[in-house]
Amino acid sequence: MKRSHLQIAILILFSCFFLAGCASPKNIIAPLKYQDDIKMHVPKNAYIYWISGKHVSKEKTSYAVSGSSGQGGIGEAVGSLIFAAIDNQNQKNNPSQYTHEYGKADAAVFITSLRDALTEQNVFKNTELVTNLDQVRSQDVLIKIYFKTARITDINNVTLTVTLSIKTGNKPAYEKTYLVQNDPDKAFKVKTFLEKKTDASQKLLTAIICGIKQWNEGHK
Amino acid sequence: MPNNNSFIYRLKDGSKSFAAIFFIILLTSCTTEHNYRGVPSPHWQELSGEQKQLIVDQAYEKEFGSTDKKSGN
Repeated sequence: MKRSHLQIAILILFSCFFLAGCASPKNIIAPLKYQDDIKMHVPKNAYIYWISGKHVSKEKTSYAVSGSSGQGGIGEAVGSLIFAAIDNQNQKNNPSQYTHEYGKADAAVFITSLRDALTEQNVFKNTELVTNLDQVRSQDVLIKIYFKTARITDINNVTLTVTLSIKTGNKPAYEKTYLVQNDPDKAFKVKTFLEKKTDASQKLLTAIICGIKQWNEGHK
Repeated sequence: MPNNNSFIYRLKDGSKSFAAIFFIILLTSCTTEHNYRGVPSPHWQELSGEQKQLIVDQAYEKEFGSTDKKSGN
């Protein structure tokens, strides 16, 4: 094998690593499961309507390319500059790879998980997701979930502020606002951002179902 | 005097062009992120068909729902 062939092989290998770096890992939460029994049944159709609010994203910690210490000389400095330029351009073109956020995609996964939990446990006669309120009749149950804010703190903790509103017939709407945050990291186990998002979403699912139970108690 | 031992110098012209085009394609195609209804493409690809439809319907209602009501459609 000629030396130039070997260099081309290295070049292709480098490109493969570069492409592999572009393939991002899992970013959004997986569908959630509600483990407990809900133990209630409302013989009405329910419609879930959701509103996506403000999402505050946070930049991921970036690892700066270390500058030349004088040992590597001009080659290392040029290399650092090229990598910094590529990284900068990549950051401009792919903002989602460089930011942590609880966005619309996570909210959509949450809403379908809530619908699945209510359907599986037969809480209502029928549970559907709607995007148009004209589909909902006055005798049906309208569950509105408003994702007011999703904040990411400095240590990547996720805080969700969500308002639940349930309305049926001419009765006044039941409204409750929840503020949930993921469990803090334990001494030797630092959770990933995705784990923290999932943790906060699971807590929110429990809180929302608890709210539906409370509404049902007051509704009787 | 050019360095005859350098890797770039020893490549043929065709190989140089190929390498240059390959890198341009790599840099332009790989690093462009699309955005679907406010959802970045890496996140969008992870959603199920129903979840994508939900986001599209919601965006549609937000954009055209109020206009439809005003125009009486």
